[in-house]
Order: sequence, then C-alpha cells, then structure tokens
Amino acid sequence: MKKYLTFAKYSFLEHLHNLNDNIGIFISFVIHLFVFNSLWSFVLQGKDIAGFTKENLMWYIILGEILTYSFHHYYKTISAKVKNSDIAYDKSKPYNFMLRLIFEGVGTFPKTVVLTIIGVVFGIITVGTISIGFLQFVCIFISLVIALLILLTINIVVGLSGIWLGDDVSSLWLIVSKFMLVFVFTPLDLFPKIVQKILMFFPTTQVIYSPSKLLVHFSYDLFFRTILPYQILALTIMIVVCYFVNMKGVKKLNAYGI
Amino acid sequence: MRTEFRKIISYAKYIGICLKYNIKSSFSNKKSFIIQTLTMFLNNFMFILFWMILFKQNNGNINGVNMNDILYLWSLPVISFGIALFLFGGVESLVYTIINGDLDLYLTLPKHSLISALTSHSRLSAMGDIIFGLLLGVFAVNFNIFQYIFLIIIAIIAGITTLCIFCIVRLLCFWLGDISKVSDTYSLSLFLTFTIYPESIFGGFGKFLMYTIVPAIYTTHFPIRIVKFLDIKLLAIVLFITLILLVFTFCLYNKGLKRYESGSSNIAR
Repeated sequence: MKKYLTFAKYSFLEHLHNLNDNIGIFISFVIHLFVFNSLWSFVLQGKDIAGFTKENLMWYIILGEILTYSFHHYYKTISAKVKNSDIAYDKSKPYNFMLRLIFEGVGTFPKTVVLTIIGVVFGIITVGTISIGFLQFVCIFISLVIALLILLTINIVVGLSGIWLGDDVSSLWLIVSKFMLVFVFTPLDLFPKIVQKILMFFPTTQVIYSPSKLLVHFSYDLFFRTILPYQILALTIMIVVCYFVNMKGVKKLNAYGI
Repeated sequence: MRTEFRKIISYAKYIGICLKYNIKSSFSNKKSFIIQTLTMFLNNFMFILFWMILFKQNNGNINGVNMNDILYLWSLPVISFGIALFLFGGVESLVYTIINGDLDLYLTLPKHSLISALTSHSRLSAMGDIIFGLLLGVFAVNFNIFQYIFLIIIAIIAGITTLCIFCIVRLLCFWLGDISKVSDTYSLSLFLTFTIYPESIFGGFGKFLMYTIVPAIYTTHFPIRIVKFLDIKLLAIVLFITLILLVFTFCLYNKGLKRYESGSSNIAR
C-alpha cells in the first residue's frame, strides 16, 4: 500500500508544482460557468424547469463542471504511456499497474480543490449560498467520491484503449465526454421518462447527474434507493471493464513485442 | 493590378495543392479519418439534441429564439470553423512551430512562410464539422438553394476571419513566448463558446466581450444576420473587418519575424 501512496504523493506534488500550467483550465472553467449562467438566466427568466429553479440549476452545473474538469485529460497521460511503450516497462515492475494508475489519478486532486474553490465563489456571487445539513453533506460526499472513482476508471479505460485505437483515442474521449457533458447542459429530468430509465444505467450518467442532482434536490430516499445503488452498479461495471481491458491489452502488447 | 490578381490565383493554386496532399495523407489512414469525422459529427449533434429538449420544454420558443436560429448557429459558424482548420490546420501548432524554431522550414519555401506553415497540415475532425454544417444549413435555409449558396459564401468569409483571429492570438508568441495553452483555451474554449450560443443570451459584459476581446460577433452573429436578412450593410462591415484582420495578421507576422530565433533546422520539404 505504501508504494501506491508514494505514487499518489508524487503525482500530487507534481500537480501542485505545475498548478500554474493549469491556468487555461481554470479560465475555461469560469467561462463555461459564465455562459451557463447567461444561458439559464435567459431561458428561465424567473420560471423553473422540470423542478429546477435558476439557483438549483447553477449549483447543479457548478458541481457538474467541477466533476467534468477533474482528472482533466488524464486519459491522455495513460494513452501517452501506451504510445511511448512506458506501459510495457511499468507492467514489468513489482506493483499492480492498474492500482498505480488509480493512485496517480487520485494525485491530481489539487486541481479539483482549486476548481471547487472557484466554483463555490462563482456560485455565491451569482446565485447565493446553498444550505446543506451535516448528514446531507456526508451523503453528497459519498456520492461525489463514487462519481470521481467512476470518472477515473472511465479515463483509465479510454487511455488503455489506445492499445487498439492509437491516436484515435481522442475521438473516443470526445464521445464519452459528451455523454457526460450532456448532463451538465441538461439534467436527466428534462429527458422523456423512458430515456431517463435507460440513461440511469450508463456510468457516464452517474458521474455528473447523480451527485449534482443530490446536491440540489436532496432526499434520503433519493440517495439510498436510487443514486447509491445505480452508482455502485456503474462503478462495478467500470471496474470489470477496466480489468478486461487491462487483461486483453497485455496480450496485445506481447503481440507487438514491445 | 493584373500582377496582384495573378499572385492571388497562384496562392489559391498553392493552397489547393497543399490541401490535396493533406487529404491524401489523411486518407492514408482511412479508419482514423472516418472515426474522427464521425465523432465530430456526433459531438455537434449532441448540442442540437440539447436545444431540441429545451425547445420541447418551452413550446418551441425561448424568449424570441427558435429552432431555426439554432440551426443557423450550428451551420454557418461550424462550416467556417471547419474550413479554417481543415484548410489551415497548421494554425493549431503555430506557437510550437515558432518557439521551436521550426519556421526555418517554411522560410526557405518560395511562397509566403505564414501561408506555408498554416497549410502544412489539416485537422481531420474539421471535415466532420464541415459536413455537419453543410447538412444543417439545408434545413436552416429551408431548402432555398440561393440562400444556401449565399450561406456557404458567407461561411468562407467568416472562416477567413476566424483564421485571422486564431493566428493573431498565436502570433503573440513572438513577444510572449510559449502561450500554447492560453491560445488553445482562447480559441477552443473562449471563442468557440461565444460562437455556439445565441447572441441574445448575453448581457452587457458578455456583449462587450463579443465585440472586443472575443470578436465572435463578426464570425458568427453578423454573418448569420447577413444570410437571414440579406443585410448588405452588415456584409460591408464584415468584409471590412475581415480585410483589416487579414492585413493586421500579415503585419503582425512580419513584425514578429524580426524577433524570430532560428532552430538551425536543415529539413528539406
């Protein structure tokens, strides 16, 4: 366990050191929030939509955007390992490669913290505060952690798919990220009922929609009977997919003789 | 005058030849070309889906904005963006080309080095943008063939304006050094975001940005009004702005070139 924590520590320190490099990401994050604020102010004009007021929607979007920007392009780091054959070197070392990827991903946390601070400040300035009780906060935090783990496994799967896709891995990410982003633009509640039921099974839905919905429309019933079971299911699916991609990928690496 | 005209024709031919080779190179990996084109197409469609859902909730009209406005918004600017990056894909790596001293390669060519650097490669996914914009444009103009041709012509002009804006931001690297990340954020996040939403959603500050620092108004909203209402006055303004930006881009490049440090590269092309 100690060696994996060391990976997380070095990844954390590296991101802390290079925080200035992420200035473009922070600017982009604020721009998106500004545009969404303008868009929903224009669309709603004091009304609400599918039970979401302007305030609800803004906090929903802020949390959704924070999640979207977390592990920003981490899949690229992994696909670069595939491209320059570092993956073959890593796999020959006495540690579990998948766990290394997970802990290195966790090490990108400083960026998420900065995004959260920016997002909260933006939210308070534009729509005011949101009140959450302690137990509610714990439930939202659990949902958030599971969402981040799902997002991390999605990044790992997309990054490792570079073994088969090569440079086209960016195209795969474009589609996967759009399946997440669509829930930042549009809460699931706006979709037709039948589509909502199908989309709930998608891991991408559980990354953005579930924790964001919980933040603005919290109820214990929603958390325990809907969000938590679906998120656990999505995480399980992604872990299984990760395992198979890794297993099949190793064979492919041998075939290439890397 | 005749010499100038010949020069323009010669450059048009040169761009055509570069494009031909870029397309040939793109087709050497057909699978990649198809995947990137299709994914960009799907990516754009997701936004249309978002608006369709929103209009369904609001009985087809949101404070004066309707689906036709969105169709225009996702056809003309998308075509112009696609044209700029498919024909002049080198703009995306212009900062790296300059700061790494790779401009040497283009300085030795008989044509203008900026044009050579810009046409050095194409962005494959931009083809998905062009196809998507052209398809959506048919519905935006309601199958009116003359308006459709006009839309394409205006999109080409808007494409030149877009390219100039992307170039100007990147050419600042002559003075500021490695601004690749900031320039990418500007063009792919800031500029693009202001391009794909209706002008009316933005208030005072947003509008100020659109007319100044992020001049999406000249590449998107004015061109759309020109096609929709055949506004000749606006067309004159857009043409004037395009010309000014074009001249400014080349002036900035020539001025920046004096600060350029060679990479002592000996690559032949």
